[in-house]
Amino acid sequence: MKSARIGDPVLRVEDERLLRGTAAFLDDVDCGQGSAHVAFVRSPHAHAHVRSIDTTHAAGAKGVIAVFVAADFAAEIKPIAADFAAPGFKVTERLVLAMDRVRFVGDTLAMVVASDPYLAADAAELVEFDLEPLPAVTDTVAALASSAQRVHESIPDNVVFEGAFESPGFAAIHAAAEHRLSERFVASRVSAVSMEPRGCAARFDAGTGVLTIWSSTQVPHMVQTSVAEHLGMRESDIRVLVPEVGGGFGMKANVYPEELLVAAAARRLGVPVKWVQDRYDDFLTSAQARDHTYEVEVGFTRDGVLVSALADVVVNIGAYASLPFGSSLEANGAPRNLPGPYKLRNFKYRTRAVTTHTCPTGAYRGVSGPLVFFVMEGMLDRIARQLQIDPAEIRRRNLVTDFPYVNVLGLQYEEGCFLPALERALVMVDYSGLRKRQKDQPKSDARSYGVGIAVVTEQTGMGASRYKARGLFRVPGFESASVRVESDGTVTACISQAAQGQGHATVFTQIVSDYLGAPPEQIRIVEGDTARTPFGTGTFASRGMAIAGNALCGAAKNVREKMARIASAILECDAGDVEFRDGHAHVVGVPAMRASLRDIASVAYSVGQQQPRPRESHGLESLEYYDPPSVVVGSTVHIASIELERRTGKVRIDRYAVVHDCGRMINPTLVDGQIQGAIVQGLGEVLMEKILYDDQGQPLTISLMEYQLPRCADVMPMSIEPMHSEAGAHVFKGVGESGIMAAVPAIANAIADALADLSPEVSVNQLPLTASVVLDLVRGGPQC
Amino acid sequence: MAEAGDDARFLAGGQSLVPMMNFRVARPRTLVDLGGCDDLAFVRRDGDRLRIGAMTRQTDVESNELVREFCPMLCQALAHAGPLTVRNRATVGGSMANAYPLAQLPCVAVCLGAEMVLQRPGGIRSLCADDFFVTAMVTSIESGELLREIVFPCASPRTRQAFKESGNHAGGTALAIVCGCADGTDVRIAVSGVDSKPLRLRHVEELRSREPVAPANQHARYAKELALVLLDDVMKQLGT
Repeated sequence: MKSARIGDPVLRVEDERLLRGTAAFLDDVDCGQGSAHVAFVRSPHAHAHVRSIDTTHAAGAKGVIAVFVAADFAAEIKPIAADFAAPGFKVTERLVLAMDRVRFVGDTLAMVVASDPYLAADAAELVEFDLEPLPAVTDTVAALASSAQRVHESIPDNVVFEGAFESPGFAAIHAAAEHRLSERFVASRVSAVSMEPRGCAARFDAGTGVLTIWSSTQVPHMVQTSVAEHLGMRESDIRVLVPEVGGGFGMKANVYPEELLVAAAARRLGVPVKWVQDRYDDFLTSAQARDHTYEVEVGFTRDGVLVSALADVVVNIGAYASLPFGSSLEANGAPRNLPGPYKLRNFKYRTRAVTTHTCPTGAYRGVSGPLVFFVMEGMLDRIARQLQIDPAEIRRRNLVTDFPYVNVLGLQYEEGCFLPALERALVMVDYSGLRKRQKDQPKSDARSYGVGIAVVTEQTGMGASRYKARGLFRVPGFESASVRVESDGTVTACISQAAQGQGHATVFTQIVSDYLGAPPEQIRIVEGDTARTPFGTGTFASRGMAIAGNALCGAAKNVREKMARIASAILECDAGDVEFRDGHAHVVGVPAMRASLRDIASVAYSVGQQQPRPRESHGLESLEYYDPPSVVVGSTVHIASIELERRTGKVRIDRYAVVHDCGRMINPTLVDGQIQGAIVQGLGEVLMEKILYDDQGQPLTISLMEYQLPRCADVMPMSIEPMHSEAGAHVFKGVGESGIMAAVPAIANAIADALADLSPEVSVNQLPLTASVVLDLVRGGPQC
Repeated sequence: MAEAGDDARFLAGGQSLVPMMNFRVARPRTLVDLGGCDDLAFVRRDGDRLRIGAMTRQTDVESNELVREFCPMLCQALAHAGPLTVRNRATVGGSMANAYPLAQLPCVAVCLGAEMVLQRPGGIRSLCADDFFVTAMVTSIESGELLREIVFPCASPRTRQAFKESGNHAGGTALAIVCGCADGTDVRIAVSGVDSKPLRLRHVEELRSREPVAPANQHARYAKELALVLLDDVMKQLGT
């Protein structure tokens, strides 16, 4: 049986169960006899005083086991305070069930537990409440106004996080720049809309005192620590299990009030309790993202060399800071990503997170990257237009080419290939041909052509030090893995993360197989089980391979060393001459001299004729932790070419080229999949997706009828090529997010390019650019 | 149905009503399933008319030879009426009775001046499509009445028909629909998306203007832009 290697395009090992329907998602989990089901009663008002809640009718309804309101759990569940008291932060509290105030449509008034989910939903409608509506603020302009309605009594200006930076001598250098350009950018709020919405379940074993929680989450260990913290339990009494997860995209990297409530209800009632979210509730309550405003001004030379950048960032975080990332995730991430791949030496920013009466926000693929690069790449194109220099040439003049490079914020780029990647992408897309087509196009054409370029960096695999520096104290930062060769020679690897469909089992299997020579079918990957896996942070921020992958390599390497020692005794050779492949240890250069993994394991576990040598311990197992010293910088170049239909504003992408650097690839097919999926989400963010609230805070996008997502027929072919520097060949870099970070600016810039000839006065400074928005821009306005 | 009164609903193909019940928007106390009413599923030629039973499944209509020959616009429209799996269950009558303002079939019915045959215990009445559709999701069907069949005029060999729609996605819900039928100087054009129900565009038919209509609201503003483009395509196809 053949072993797999790192770098092979191995078929996904999890697809058998996922495609044949034998995989169990949260809704499929059997939590045990007498399972009860939950429906939550959500506030219909964005801001209101809760006068009273009457549960009498609901409690008496068919099948109802219990109806809980705030008072029922007041002593049992601590309020959520997502942020720590640190400079720049103001701590706010969220009650998992609203007591006297609701702060967004979707805030939770009551929890109904019934014998089946339909009866729970029926009874939820019978909960009566008396709410006194209060004025609501939904956007940051209103929330920052001097007399604005406060979202939290203790925060008079609604600003819950503020950060700033200024490089030495900024003011003078910026003022002295030969040219300056300023712009205001506004980007809408979006929702992750994972195929499977959220859900969780819990069962309390009164005998052992163990609380088992199943959750459709990306962060099982943080669910464990958060439940322990908020329910006053011991972590050793809590086991969090993650079934198959139908997409998370960051939205499931939060710990939600529902997880605390379902756990508390299971403990209180003594029966298993399950909650499965529907799409409507997903649109009301699952963490949304983006919703930023940028005021920027860049200084540059007459040759188009970037001198300075000044940015004022405002992020609408909704009603509450979310666990575990708190209020600063996007607000702090945005300016920290702004320098990107460019030689920007002078930078000043202020950034603020503002509360409003809208759904809380959290992580979503790319976090602030897609927007901050929409801004930066948009400014580069504006410089190009003003100076009449080609956009590709402007980038050539500004890209970092000498490594290692320390950017203006102190972030080190060890190595990279920004410029060669740009040159390759230009060839792939036939850039000069596209420009010629544009130039030769007759004015009478019903279509306009546009080309957009984006070069972006992706800060992947952030370690503990980065999270501490950003004030995200709840995020551990490291990952871990244990590898155990069982006594029959099969392998179990337990990893601190959880998968959401991206193919973890496949790539982790490849790593183990490469190190130990075990064939993939004899390797079991265990994730998403806090009782079996060592502690770690979770799956988000492109951490999987960059951090957990390295932890796994370390553990597998340790096990291999011990296996080599045992094999050397069997094969009577030097341990250094043993190599592992295809299920066997071989003596280098003498392929016939071999011992199977089963033979080696039988020695290690003493289940055969031999036992380990004196001084060699029993077992074949290793646990490794990996914490990257800082962050691993990946990068990508995207070039999009579009056709814009002048009469309808519809945009069709006709060519799309990607050159990406994620260093050493473990599985190129999965890398392509990450990039393709992220580009599709980027396409949605530019052309379609927009969460909308009216001025009273009523959400208007509450189903997939109103919230437009890309579908198969909207997706164009893409050419994707990998590239890395010589040093980059040895580094696993994350690749989950560069796709969306570059797709958003590339497509937006292509639209701006198409519009530049049609309506030179308009500025493409908003997202999304739906067909109706584009049509308005074709006609010269209105703009945001 | 008579017993259950106003809280009852007929269930045809269930492709709109069932999702609305899932959303708890529609809450009929009683459902009367028409699934077993085979005598409501037919396509018949009756002189210069084509009679289609309300319970005829959309895919059956789309592939029906008589429909292809005598009412080709219906086949074109049905190709847009949701994915095949939906059309396999969905019925012609169900879509009409549901009166979703951007559904394809109501627009065709208004364009062609279809006759909607309603049955009640002991009686039958007919309404022209213009009068049948009242506003979004509302028709002239009265309590206790059932839409039994839809009667379309047959196209002659020299009749031209065209159907165009435009939306956010290929295969997705339309934002605007324009369909037209020309028989010599007799031109009929209908549009959906600019108002709460399909509209005949008599001023366009009489070639007095190319403007569809003023959009009913802000949301319909972009739909009107699309309708203008579609209208050009339809007029071109009709050769007018």
